Amino acid sequence: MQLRRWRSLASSAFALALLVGSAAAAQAQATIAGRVTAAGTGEPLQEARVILVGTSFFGSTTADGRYTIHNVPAGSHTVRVIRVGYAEQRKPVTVSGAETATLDFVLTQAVVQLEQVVTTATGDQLKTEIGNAVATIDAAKVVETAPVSSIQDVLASRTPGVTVTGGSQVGGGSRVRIRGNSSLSLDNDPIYIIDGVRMTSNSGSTSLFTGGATPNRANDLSPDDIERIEVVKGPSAATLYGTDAANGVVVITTKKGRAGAARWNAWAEGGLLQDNSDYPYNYTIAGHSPGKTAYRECGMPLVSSGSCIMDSLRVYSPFHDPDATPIGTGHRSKFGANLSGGTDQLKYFVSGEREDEVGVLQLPQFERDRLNAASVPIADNWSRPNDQYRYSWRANLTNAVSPKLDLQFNSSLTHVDTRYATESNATAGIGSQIFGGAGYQDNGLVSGLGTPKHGYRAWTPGYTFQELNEQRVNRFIASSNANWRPFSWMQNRADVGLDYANRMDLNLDKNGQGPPVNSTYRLGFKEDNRTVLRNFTANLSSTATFNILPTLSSRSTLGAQYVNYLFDQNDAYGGTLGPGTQTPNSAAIQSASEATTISKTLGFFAEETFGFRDRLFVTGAARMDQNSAFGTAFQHVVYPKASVSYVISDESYFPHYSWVDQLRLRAAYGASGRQPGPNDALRYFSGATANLKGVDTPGAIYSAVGNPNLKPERTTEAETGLDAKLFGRASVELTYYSKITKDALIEAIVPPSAGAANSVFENIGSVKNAGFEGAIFTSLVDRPAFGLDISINGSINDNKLVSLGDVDEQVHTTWRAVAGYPLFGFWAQPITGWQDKNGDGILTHSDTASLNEVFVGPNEIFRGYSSPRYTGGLMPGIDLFNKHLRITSLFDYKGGYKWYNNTERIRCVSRQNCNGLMNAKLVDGRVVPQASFEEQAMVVATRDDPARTLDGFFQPASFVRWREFTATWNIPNNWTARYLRSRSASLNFAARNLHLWTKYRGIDPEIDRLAGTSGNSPGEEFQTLGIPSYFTFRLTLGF
Amino acid sequence: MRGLARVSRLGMLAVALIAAGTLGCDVNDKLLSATDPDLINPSDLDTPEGATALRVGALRRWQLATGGDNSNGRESTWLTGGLLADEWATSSTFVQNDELDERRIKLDNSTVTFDFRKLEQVRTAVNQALPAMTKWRPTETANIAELYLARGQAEMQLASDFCNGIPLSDGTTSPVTPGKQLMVAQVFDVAIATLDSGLALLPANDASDIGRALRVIKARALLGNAKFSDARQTIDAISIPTDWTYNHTYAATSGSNAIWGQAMSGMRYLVGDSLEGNSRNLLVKNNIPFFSSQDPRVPANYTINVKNGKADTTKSQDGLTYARTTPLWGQETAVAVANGIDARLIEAEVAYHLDQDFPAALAILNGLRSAQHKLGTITTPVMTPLVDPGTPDARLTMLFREKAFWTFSRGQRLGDMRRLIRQYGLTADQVFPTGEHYRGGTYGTDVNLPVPKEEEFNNPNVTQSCLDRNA
Repeated sequence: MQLRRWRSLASSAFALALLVGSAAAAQAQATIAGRVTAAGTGEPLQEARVILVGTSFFGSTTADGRYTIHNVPAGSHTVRVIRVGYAEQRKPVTVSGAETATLDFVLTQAVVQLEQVVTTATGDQLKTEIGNAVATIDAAKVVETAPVSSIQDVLASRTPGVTVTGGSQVGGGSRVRIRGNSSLSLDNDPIYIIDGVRMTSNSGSTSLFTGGATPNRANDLSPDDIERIEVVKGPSAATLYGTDAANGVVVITTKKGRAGAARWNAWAEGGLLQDNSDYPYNYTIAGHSPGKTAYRECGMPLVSSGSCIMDSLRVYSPFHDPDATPIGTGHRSKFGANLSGGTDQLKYFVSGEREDEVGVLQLPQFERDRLNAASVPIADNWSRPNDQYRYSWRANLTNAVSPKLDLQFNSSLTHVDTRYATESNATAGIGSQIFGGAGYQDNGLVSGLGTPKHGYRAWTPGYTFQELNEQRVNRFIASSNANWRPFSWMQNRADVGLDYANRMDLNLDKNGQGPPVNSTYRLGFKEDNRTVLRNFTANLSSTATFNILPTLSSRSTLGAQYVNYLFDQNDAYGGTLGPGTQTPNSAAIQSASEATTISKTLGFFAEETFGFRDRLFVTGAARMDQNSAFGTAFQHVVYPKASVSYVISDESYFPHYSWVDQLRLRAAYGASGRQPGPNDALRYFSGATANLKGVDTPGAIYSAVGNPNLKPERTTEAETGLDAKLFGRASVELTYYSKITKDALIEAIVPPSAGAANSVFENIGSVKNAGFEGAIFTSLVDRPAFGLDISINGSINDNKLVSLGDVDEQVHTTWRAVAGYPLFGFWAQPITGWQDKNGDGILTHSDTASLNEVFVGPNEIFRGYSSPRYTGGLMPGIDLFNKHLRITSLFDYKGGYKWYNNTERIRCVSRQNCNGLMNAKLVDGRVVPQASFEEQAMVVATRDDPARTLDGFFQPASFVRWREFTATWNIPNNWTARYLRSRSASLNFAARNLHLWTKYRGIDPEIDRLAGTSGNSPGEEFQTLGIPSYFTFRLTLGF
Repeated sequence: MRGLARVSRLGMLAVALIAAGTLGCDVNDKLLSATDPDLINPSDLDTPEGATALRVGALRRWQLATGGDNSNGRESTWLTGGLLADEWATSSTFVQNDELDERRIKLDNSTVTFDFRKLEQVRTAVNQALPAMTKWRPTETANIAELYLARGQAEMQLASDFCNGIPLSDGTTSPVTPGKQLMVAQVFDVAIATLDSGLALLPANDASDIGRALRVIKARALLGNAKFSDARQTIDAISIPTDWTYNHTYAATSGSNAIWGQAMSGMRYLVGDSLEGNSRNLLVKNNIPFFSSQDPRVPANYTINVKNGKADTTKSQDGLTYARTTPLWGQETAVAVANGIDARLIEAEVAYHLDQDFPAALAILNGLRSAQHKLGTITTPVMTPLVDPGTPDARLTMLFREKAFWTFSRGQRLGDMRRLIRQYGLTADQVFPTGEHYRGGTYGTDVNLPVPKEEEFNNPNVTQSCLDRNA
């Protein structure tokens, strides 16, 4: 009843407002028009933004540099023009009646600049008005020059405070972390917004088990369609994005049409992938027991104890055998074109692209020979088990329906087809087999199949690669945006969008194929899993902008947002396939399952920004959310926000040093949240089938304890910093942030003796992240013929679990959640030392202290961060030949953390082929270990010491990687016109992951087998292949 | 004035936008309602059909705790207990299994944690099903008694396999009601009481499958507490034919027999032996040679691969160890939770221990050998009678060795080995495997499964995982 009355009142007020507004609109209004050109050359500048300060009006320049702003109220105004690469300019203008005032601008080139427009939850805003650090990545430029194949590649290493770790297979997702980990139990990934609507960015796929690489839906998008990416780093900036935005927001703006004649851009890219990782050898000590002659294999401790007498060391690895290695050369190609043009009223952008990338994995030659000899045709997926094809189409339309109304339609259709090899943690995965083999090639036959193992552990690639793991995704993302400016002071925005993905995961092992993992595997199976992922977004907001006083402006926004997410999955499984069949329904054992996840959020927000003399901006805002996942006893959450931005250098009292061009101070405070999983609050049972006396009978089992008081995690953040332009050629950005997550959701372990679910979510924890971020860009030399610039960025993150409430510390195999220590930090009983007491060069464990040679501390203690504390990027760039040739590099540093070398751990503990256990030579009949004491101690401490500590395998992982090298030749226009008949042309060579400097003992400290999962445990290298290097050429033509 | 006018416009804007935000939006129910078809609300089970569903769910939990759960790393104690004992040797790649086989189990061993939780889940599931069955299906006394059987067997298995200090919490409440740590003997007593509750529902001297199973399991629990006389009395109260069996059945559709899945199919478990290593050069003291004895009750062989003129001893899942497999179970073979052979073996032990009458015990053992019996997929042949070895030690060894072969991998061996220490005065070094382990280290000293660290850290009544690690 109350709601109805409220609605009625509101509707009346709304109508009244429209009437008043209409009356105002009926007054005569003017037009401001003009042209924007570059100083010196007089060249028209397209895409300059012309803003009527203090109003909601703005315009953009066309290809000939012209702009028009209609419906300008009579009076005095200030017009501001901004454009990337040029210094901002403002001019006053006075208009009266229905006249058209002409106002031209001549902009001078700026080496650096701070003024930029950024996309916020309340619409586009000048960066100087915002109190937060917002990083902008010029994705269009990155894609044209750098070897990137996904959005996460674009994000990597370009922004301080953002870390991206990935796997090694083509199509594998990455972990993206912004300003550290905030949540112990929920995922720590940012959310993604594309053209105003929520984009699905799920990690992993429970129905696609590869053992390692899994996709991330954010990577479905073609980077070539993206204009720019803004990284909203924390709650102080993300408040108005609501519940779920506490880990930051990646805001993607796709390319839009530009007024003018039709312009074609076409590109072709081709290149190679190579894996230059330094893979370990497998070692086997061959020997015999005292007094016996039978062959046996034994590690160094047994040799030391005299239980085994060493005869020889055998060393081999298929990695290093050209006939046996599964590592080959991958390749990549991409072809695409886009078309842009239109009029001021209707602009269009249309693009299409085909991209394919074939990973480095290949069927080894010895397997080809075997299959050829048996006249078995080699299927494509056996030959190249990891590849990805992507087709992308995009059509974006901008329609200026009237001077007061703009409509924008964005749509994209993507098809991604990715094939993954089983690897890492898959029993039959290629990593498990190749890292786990013997120190010799002739190590027997494959179980039950009688073919040589050729140095592989149990099953060879010819069998492993027969199992098909494929994901096909058809994805449609569409959004429409309306901007209605009924009055000069009012702008209304509406965004409605849908992200609809149809995902099909296929796992097929035909009858008679695949590795003999168990006795039914080669009978064949097929799993066909089809999932709809749907994200619907509706935003509605209205902004009023006006000058309360000549020196005081106001920008007020009210808005609402609704996000409705659906995950709807059906799975069909068939086991024991008939020969030649490959459908679940043709299998002897059939099963089906269904899974649904629904999450809905409704939020309202309000924001007010006061601007004082266009240099001091004070903002206050709040957002209220309700979500379907909140517990029944918890109804809504309110997130506040406040910020200040002060261009202090514009003040007369500010000392005007010649080297300080501009200085802006900023501070912000805000809160945001992370909602629990849709069913986490519920106590429920699940269906289960018991076989009772031979009959499958449906029943119900207790699955979740539930928590009716569950509410979202709440993260509050304060940040402060400065932006400066110095010496006319440098920009500096420094930020300090401190964010605290309260009501942190802890997956509290239910005592096993309760016989219930393993855990229940409780809002009891608290997590703190604090750190510094900095970025410097400087143009050291900027001459017509030559330029030299350097960008440097860096960040420090200090992460701490402040409290676990009344829950005891959470203990996991490699990490613990302990108050006072970083989230997901490594814990272990430390190796405190070693002493070769008997002088034989071999370390051994003994329960007798006087004989024990490896010492392990009694308690598990913190051993290090599991994610980088320090990050840095160095990007030098050189322009040569009148700036037609630009050469850049990107060096990436990450440090202050350890990485779990689980590959070596399992080689030492289970495979018994690692360096620290087996690498010893016989020299003049004497056993001489080749492994260092440290390497031996790692092994003894985890194999023989009762502590079985993993300490030695948590290894310092700091590294510097030469991430990118690019050389782009922008062919002079007169050449392109003459020889290519094109408007423009550029030729680009790019390389990625060129070299790695690190003391890490494993394959690569960036390999994360869990990269594509949303799980929260530390990353690890586990039987994972190395990260490949890319070498690509790209030709881009403009017509 | 001009400023005021603008402020009033702002006010109007606010009102207008709130209106726009609320128009057509019923803020609460429709927009935010989310019904997940995957879930069963507890209230949906408060029906006669719901009671049956809960009962079946409890039996499902129980099946997973005996011969079921074929997920790697989640095997039941029927397998993992056999690793710690001598029934199985590990050939998986899981360090958890290495720890079990080497008798050096860490308190956070995830497989042991699963085992412990799995048995406790049987208790909780039964405790949820019992009130529902009593309310909605009170006349189904056999079904209700079967639930007590499930809970009693799980409690008996907990006591047989885990160390002193086992909490039995109440997981049906919200929040859960944490239990206090109980000594093994106390848990056996809890199991006996549970099984008595089941028996009380049945007619006196009921000889149905459930009645017999309740008595056999109860007798095992009584043996656990050295109540030999009570055990005999429990068994002898009714007729329990030697070839009677109470089974858990399995199907590929709802879950395979995990003893087959982990051992024969996945080759993660090897049939245990006293000679270890591929070259069979490591003599493991105390281990029964299940593999090399070629006893017909545990048929076992190396898997030999012959193809293309080459022969090769098949390697297990670890890629190193020769596979020693037994065809005792297939994918859908039922496992006996209790059977008449168990009853005979209990009678034999009581005769030996209580009556000090080894000839009587031997007669029972030879009675078993004198006939064919169905064990899993096989039917045992008539076997040569045993001859009294003459010495007390050898007689004891014979008794338990016979029992080990008859009950192979049915969750009894670890408990029996512990009883040899507890009730027969042997030391761990005389019972459990010792010496060099074939994976390169040496056997440790564990004689039971530890209450997991997760219990210690999350149950306020638990100060340390095990009150002691004694047998």
